[in-house]
This record gives sequence, C-alpha cells and structure tokens, in this order.
Amino acid sequence: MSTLPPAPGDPDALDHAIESLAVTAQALLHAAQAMSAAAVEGSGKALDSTRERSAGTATRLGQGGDRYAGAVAGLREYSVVLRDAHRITARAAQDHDRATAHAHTFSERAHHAAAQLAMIAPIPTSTLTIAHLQDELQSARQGERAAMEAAHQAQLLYDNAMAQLDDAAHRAAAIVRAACDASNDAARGIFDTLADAAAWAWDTIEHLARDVLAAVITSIECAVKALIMGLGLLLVSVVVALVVGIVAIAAVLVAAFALQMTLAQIIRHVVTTAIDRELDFWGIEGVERVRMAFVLLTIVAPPLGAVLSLRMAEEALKPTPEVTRMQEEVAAEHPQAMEDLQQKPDDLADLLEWSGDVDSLGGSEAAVVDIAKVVAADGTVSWIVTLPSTQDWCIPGDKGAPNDLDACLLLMLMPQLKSQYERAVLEAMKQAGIAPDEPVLMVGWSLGGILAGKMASQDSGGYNYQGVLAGGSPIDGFDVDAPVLQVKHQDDGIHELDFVDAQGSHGDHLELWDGVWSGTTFSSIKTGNLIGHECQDYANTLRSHLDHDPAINDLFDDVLPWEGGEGDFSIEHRQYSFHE
Amino acid sequence: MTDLEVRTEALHLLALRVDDIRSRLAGAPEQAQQAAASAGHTAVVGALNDFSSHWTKRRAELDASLADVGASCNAIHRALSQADGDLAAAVRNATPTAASGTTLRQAL
Repeated sequence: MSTLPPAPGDPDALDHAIESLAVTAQALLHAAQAMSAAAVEGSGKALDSTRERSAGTATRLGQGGDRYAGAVAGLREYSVVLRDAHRITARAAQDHDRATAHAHTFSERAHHAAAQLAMIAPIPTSTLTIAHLQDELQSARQGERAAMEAAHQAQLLYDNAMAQLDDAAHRAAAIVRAACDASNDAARGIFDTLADAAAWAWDTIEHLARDVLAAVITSIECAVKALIMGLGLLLVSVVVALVVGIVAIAAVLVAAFALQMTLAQIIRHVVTTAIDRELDFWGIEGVERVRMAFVLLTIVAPPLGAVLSLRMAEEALKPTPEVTRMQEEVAAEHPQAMEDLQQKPDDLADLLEWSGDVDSLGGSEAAVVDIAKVVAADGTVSWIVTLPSTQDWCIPGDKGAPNDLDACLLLMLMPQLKSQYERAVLEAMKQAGIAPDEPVLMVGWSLGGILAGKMASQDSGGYNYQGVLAGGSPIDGFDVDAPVLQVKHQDDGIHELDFVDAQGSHGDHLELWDGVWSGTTFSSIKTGNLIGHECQDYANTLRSHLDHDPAINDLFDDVLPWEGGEGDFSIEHRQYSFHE
Repeated sequence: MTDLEVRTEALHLLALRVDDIRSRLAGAPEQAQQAAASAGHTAVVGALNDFSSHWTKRRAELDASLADVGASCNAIHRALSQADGDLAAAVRNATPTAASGTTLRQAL
C-alpha cells in the first residue's frame, strides 16, 4: 500500500450521478417550457383553467430545472478536476513509492559501504579498495539524495493535485448553492416563512415536549432504579454493619469483661495481700483478722458497716428455726439431686457434689441439710453432714433460707455466737440421732464449708467431728482438730475472706488448688467459670486430684472406710429442712 | 356560447409527462445522495445536502401543482372522450351523418 493515499471520491460514479441529475434537469426544463407554451392546445373553460394552473406550475418547474441544471454545472466542473486529481495523485503516489524504495536501496548501499570502510580502516588495505568503497559510498549517497528529491517532487505533485481538487470542490459547492438560492425553501415569502417558522416552532415544541417528557420519565426511571439499588445497598450495608457491629460489640464486651475480671483479680490480690501483711505485722491472727478488716471497712464506709452490724445482731437474736424432715414434694421436684443423694459415694468429690444438691433442694426459701448415716461392715456408725451454701443474699429483702448473708457475717465475724443456721443444723443432727461419740464428717462449699469448719473447730453440739471437707470456704482461721480437706481456686476470692490465702498442706490438713498451685503433675486443672466460685467446679478440681492420687480419699477413713471396696459400708440419707 | 376546441391526445400526453416529472422529483433526494456519496469532498457533499434538504417544501408544492395539473388533464381527457363518444353515438342514432376524429368542433 502506498504511503500517499488515493484521492477521495469516485469520478465514474460521480459522472453517472451527474448524468442522472442532468436528465432530470432537462426533463424539468422541457416540461416547464411545454407547460408555459401552448401545451394545452385548444380552447374552452376547462382548458383555460388548466392552462392557468399549468402556467404557475411551469414557473415552479423552471425554478426546479434551473436548480438541477446549476447543480449539474457545478458538479461537472468538479468532476473534471476530480478525475484529473485521481489520475495525478495515482501517478504521484506511484512515483513517490518508487522513489522511496530507491532511496531506501541507496541508503542501504551507503550504510554498507560506510560499514566496510569503517571495518577496514585499522587494517592496512590497498588504496584501490578504499577508493572503490569511497566511490561506492558517494554514489549511493547521491542516488539516495536523487531518489529523495524524486519522492519530494511526487509529494509536491500530489499535494498540488489535492489542492486543486479542494479549490474545485469549493467552486463547485458555490455554484451549486448559487443555483439553489432562488428556489430554496428559505427564499419563500414572508408569510410562508412565518407559517413555516410557526410549524417549525410547533414541531420543535412538540419534539422538545416529547423529548423532555421522555427525558423526565427516563430520569424518573433511573432515579427509581438508583433509589432501589441504593436502598438495597443500604439495607445490605446496614445488615453487614449490624452483624459486624454486633460481633465487634460482643468482642469488645468479652474483652472488657475479661479485662475487668483481670483487673478485679489484680486489685483483690493487691488489697488482700496488703491487708495480710499489715495484719501479720501487727500479729493479728484467726478471726481477729476478719474483724480488723471489717473495722477498716466500717471506717471507709460507715453506713455499710452499720447495716452489716445490724444484720449480724438480728441474725444472732433470731430464734432457732423449726427443723423437719424434707417434704416428699420437694424431693419430687428435684429428681437429679435426690438421685445423687441416694447413691453410695465413689470418692470425696461425690460428697462435695452433694453440697450442690442440697443447694438445689433448699433454694432461697429454705435450707436443706443432708445427713447420711454410714454403717461399716463391722457395724460401726459414722455420719456425713452436708450443708448448703449461701442461697439468700438478702437483696432486696431477707428470704426464708437461713443460709444467707447474715449467717455469713456472723460466722466470719462473731463465731462465738451461733447463727440460726448453725442452731438448726444442730437440731437436725439431733433429730438424725447422731450420738456424741460417733464420727461426723462435715461437708460444704462456700458458706456450708464455713459452717462446717466453725462447728468442727468449736465441737459445736458436743459431737465427734472427725473431718471437714470444704470447697471455696475461708476456714483457715478456724482451728480444727480433725482432718481438713480444702479445695481452693486461684481466681476465687471467697476463700480469702479470712485474709489467709495459702497456708499449704500441713499435717492432716490438706489444701488442693487448681492451676499452677495444683502441683506440677496437675497443672492442667482449671476451674470451669471465670471467678472459680462454683460447687461443681470445686468437685471437678477435687476429682482431678483424686484421679492422680486416690489416696486422698483415705483422709477421712474414720468416717468412710473406702479400703475394702463397695461392700464395706452402707449409707442412708435423710434430708432436713428449715426456714426462718 | 364558448368555442370548444380540444386536442385530447395532447391532454393525455401532458398528463403522462406530469407523471414522469413527479416520479423524477420523488427521486431527487436519492439522486443528490448518490452524487454526494461519490463526490469525495466535504464542501461538495455539504452543497448537495443543501440542494436536497433546502428544497423540500417547494418540491412538495411543485409536486402538488403537478398532481393538480395532471388530474385536470386526465379529467378533461376522460370527460371529453366520454362526451365525444356519447355524442357520436347520438348522432349516429339521429342522423345518417356523424362527426368523428380527434378534433371536435361544435357550437354549444
């Protein structure tokens, strides 16, 4: 393909179209001439009328013919130039292509000669060869210049032809337009122009109205679609944001709660440790440590101290509740607890679980104490007294269960006094028929453990206390002259309320922990809840220790003769209930 | 009374010529478009487009005038031919002599 494009247009097709226009022009002019002459020969009214009409039509036909004839004239002049332009530009393009090709060839020859000269320059060569190459180089460069000049001339010829074509086109356009001026629609009379303008205006208004209306409808459709899409996106975004937000809020709450618990534990450790040190410094031991802490609390918050003091006084002055055997209906409402209490224990953890069972039986309206009579194979009798934990926190008011906050306070601060809870337990033990010399194991967690330790340390009721099994109970201040098994959790601050954290196992007092204090072997033992104050968790911790060291069960062998297996003792449970 | 002298064949020829002109006028835009398509220059193309588009209403008026003239010629031709035939028949029935031919001269 040539680098110079061919001239535009098609001369042959244009000539054909011009001839067609010329025929029409001739037809129009002949018809006009015929109509203007006596085309309708003869005479008569109809003919006269027709002749009048023909005369006006002939004038219009003449104008049309002139229009066509003028267009034909302009196009014919243009066609001649167009044909010449095609001929000249085709030849110019051909010459240009040929000259360009020659220039390329000469350029390659010049490059080749120059390269050969450069290559042989450092080498001793005959002057003849050098001269030959120099001649070749000069000749090639001359040929290249000549070819480029020829290409340039061809380009000039091409450009000239195109310029002439351009001039001819404008001349032809001017001729065509000049021929049309007289007959153009715009050249009509003022009234026709006004009518056309009115029609145009009406059409324009109609189109505008239609277009505007269509545009408005389209805009409304687009807006509605955009609105629907926007609402959809908004809805999806809201849902996603809600889900993400809920997850984020939950994560933040969990993190905040964990942080709060951690901070609370740290503060508790710091405060209790500080108090412990101060109490140690002043040589305050036992229950006096709790009392000093209470004094400090009263100094810091006198109203609270006053309220708690009043509650303790009220608790001490209340009469002993009436103790009866637990109603069958209560047992029927708690089949799982009763099933646990009817079964023979496999280990000490079962006993600790009984503490949770009596909590379930009594609830916040009554206290239920389980007293199990153990009869060994040799006929000796021992007893297991299982005490409930705090089930009534006296908020907003004091409920029926005597195992409440008041009992806690009295037990911790004034153990010399007997709470109604303790007095009722002694009454239950009496009703159960526990003889003074028969070994008794006191079992309880939290408040139940406190009362168990307190009663054992004071030989309350004159019974033969041979052991205390407690979980999460602050009983380190009680001096119990019998085997004691305490289960403690690191995260539980309740068993530190006596301001004695870890005494460690000594003698027949065994202290079992979870976590890192559980011993290297049992370091995996952990509590099940966040604060670690839960009966079942304490039972689980104890069971984990028993799995590793079953000999722990032998701590209370005066009460429970495990050594011989299942057949060595029988057990009979009775539940006693009382309320304030 | 008016003299009536009509060459009905001329009327018919004129009507045919009118029809031919009308068909040529109807093809005017197409002719201009063909020329524009082969012109190859925007100036010429623009002029030819104006040639076609600026003669729309007047061409329509011319066409309507031509249609009117053609219709008149055809109507006169048909009516006179019919009248001529009817008169010829009447004359044949009334008298032994009758006028015939394409030229009718009669005093009305």
